[in-house]
Amino acid sequence: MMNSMIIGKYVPGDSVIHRMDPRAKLLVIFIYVFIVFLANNSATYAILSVFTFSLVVLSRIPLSFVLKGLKPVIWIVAITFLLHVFMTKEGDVLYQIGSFSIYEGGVKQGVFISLRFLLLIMITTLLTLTTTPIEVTDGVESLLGPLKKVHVPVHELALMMSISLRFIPTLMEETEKIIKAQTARGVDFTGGPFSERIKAIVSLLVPLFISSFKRAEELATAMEARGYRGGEGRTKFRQLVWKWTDTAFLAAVLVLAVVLFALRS
Amino acid sequence: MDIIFEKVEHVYNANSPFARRALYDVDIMIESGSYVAVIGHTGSGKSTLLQHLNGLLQPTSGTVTVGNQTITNKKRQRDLKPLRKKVGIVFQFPEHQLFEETVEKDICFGPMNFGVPEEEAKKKARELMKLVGLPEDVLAKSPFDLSGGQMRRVAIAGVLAMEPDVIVLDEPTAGLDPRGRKEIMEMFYRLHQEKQLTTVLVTHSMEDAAAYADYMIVMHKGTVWKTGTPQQIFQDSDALAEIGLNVPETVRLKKELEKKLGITVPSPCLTIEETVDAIQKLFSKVNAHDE
Amino acid sequence: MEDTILSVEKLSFRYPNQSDYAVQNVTFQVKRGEWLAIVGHNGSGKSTIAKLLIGLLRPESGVIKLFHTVLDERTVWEIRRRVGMVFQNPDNQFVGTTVEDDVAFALENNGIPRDEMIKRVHEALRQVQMEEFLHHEPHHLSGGQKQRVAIAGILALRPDLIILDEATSMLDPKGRQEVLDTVRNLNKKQRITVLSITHDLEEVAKADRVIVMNKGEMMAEGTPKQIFALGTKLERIGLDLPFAVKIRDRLKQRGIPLSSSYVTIEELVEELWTLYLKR
Repeated sequence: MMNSMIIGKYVPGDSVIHRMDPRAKLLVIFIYVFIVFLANNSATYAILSVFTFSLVVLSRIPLSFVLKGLKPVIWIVAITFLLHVFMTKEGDVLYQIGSFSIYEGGVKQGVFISLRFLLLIMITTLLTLTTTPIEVTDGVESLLGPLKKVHVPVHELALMMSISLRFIPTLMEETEKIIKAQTARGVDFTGGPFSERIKAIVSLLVPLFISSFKRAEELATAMEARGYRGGEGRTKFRQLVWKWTDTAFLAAVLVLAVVLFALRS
Repeated sequence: MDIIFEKVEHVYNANSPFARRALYDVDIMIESGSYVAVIGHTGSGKSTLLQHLNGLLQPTSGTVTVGNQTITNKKRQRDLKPLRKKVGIVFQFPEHQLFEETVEKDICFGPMNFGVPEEEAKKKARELMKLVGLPEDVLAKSPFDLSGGQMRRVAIAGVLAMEPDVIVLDEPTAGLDPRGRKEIMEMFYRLHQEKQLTTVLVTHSMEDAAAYADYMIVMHKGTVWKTGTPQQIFQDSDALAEIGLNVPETVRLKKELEKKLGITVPSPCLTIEETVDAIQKLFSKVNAHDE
Repeated sequence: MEDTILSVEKLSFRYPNQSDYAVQNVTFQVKRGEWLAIVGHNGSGKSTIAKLLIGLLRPESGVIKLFHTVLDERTVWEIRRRVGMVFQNPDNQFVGTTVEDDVAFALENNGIPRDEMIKRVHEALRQVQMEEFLHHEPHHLSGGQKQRVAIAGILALRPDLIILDEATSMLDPKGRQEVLDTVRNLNKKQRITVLSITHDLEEVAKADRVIVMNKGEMMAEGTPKQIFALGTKLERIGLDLPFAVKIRDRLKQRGIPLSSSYVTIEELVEELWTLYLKR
């Protein structure tokens, strides 16, 4: 249910993409986000699409999974497409309905922009499908490491992140329990008038907050008892290993950037 | 109000790759006015079973009949609300459901959800204080200023305030100290006796099951393993041991004594009092024999 | 020579804004390899003692010495490295996203090199029989398994003393048994000292020595047998008695001449048998 929605996003596997260093994945995506905007003609968009789909193939994740990630944004894409189709007045007129004319340039523009959008979503979906949240956290912590020098609490932020990830399923379970208990006391979580809905939500949120605070307090005590006193002098159990494949992927995306730059019109 | 389960099955996340059958082939009857203990390991289906008693869960197939209301997988959740007033559930760690600013408001919350006027609910809350063993001035306090044991009692009062015909208790004494445990169990037993309140106790404690229940349902791996009176259930300690359950210590003592002394103790020895009586009788008989 | 690893002298503590002492004038010692149980009703101050012992709270007066070192701000981190504590709620002490991460947590805090960490994580999980769960996430474990992971997290630091703060009170009978067996094994085979704060009678009966707390003060100290001989005195302060003791006391009241020295059903049956034959 709720669990499978959030945590279930990661699809375990042992593909090249799964085994990539999360830092490499994050860097590839970071660069990709910029070079997507370089594409502006059929050739560049084609190359970009081929690159993206090859990554999906390499991840050995069924395309349908990746496409599912597009579902929530499909309306936005559709609206963007239509806006471009109707607003752009370039090239030959393809079709005319009353005072509306659809131009060739509009359709082209619509397809390009939608494609750009879809490719971006696809590649980020691919990241979450092939990388555990904790790997992402580790990757972010490592990449932001240099910011420690300017007193950004990178370690603390990463720890917060990882503890939140750890507690999501616990809180989901707790939420479900409280909903059940309050339902048994006559609360209707499925509908009813507005005022009753507010009451229902309060009867869920107050116990949830109180228990979360208690958990946080106990967790802090347990962490202290186990010798936690900030990031200083700490060693790390989870280790990120940069492999030659990571360098290769990074190189590939840079080559892609150069090619796109050369072929754009 | 009898509760009848017919061929009840429950599958979590049905029609998904995560589907898990938690309950199947459950045919049971809980008679009005009885005290029924449900025992079984964690994961035996006990807690899924109890959520069917007031329609929190609907059977995937089969029917649950509570009084004159039938629950099937076709009922809409909304229609099940009236049932929840009749069957109150005290969940494990019920203090986790407290949320109002005052104890009084929290106790009145349940009944008022079912349309009981505020004044009446407040009156009920005052009466309940005594029953659950709390001083009346607690009513004005915030539930979060109370000790764990007191919060538990307030939460229990909150369920009792709905004046259910059936009360379902899921490990109601977990985490309490021995005195607290005993007081709570005695209180529910008194309620059961005085008001003929149908009581369903889900517990890990064989001692509590033996001492209070007049009927037992033993769950194992998602279905009913055996039903009967405590005496019947605890007769065959070897069979129980096979599914990883024990007999109460009183029964264990009786069996050990029978083995060692080569006699039969006629009493079922379900409570400490019964056991002490039985042993005393053993010795007085010997005395009589001697004379 | 028996080595005292923990000594508590005239310990007193009050929570802020409270006039009553949560712990008052408590004195006791724990010897290496011993299993000491502290019992008391909820609110008797037993958990406060646990928090004082690893410096999570600071005493109002009195001295705590662990390994002959006085516990204070300077020594607290070194002492926490040698004392492991298992808390009541299995969920609220699980820090890592997986079992291995959680076991490694305290090692990371103490700056243990990674190679050594990997070795110790495996070793510790083996000791609590949880090695096959290395990559499991906490929400897929039972309460008893989580507590065993917590114990592994402590073992990885190779502690001298394990404190169980009602560590089995939220578990089902199976989980409780798992955890107790694990701890007993460590106590017997590796001579790890155990201080167990509990109201579980089985835990108490198996301890070497028992301290009874009532309203922040020590009410009694002795072997389990000595303590259970107190009978109704314990029931009066909200504690339970082992089943055999309850039966024994009631039979004695009815004039059956039983001795006061046993605590198990087997012992009771043995004595009833002797008595039965004599008649």
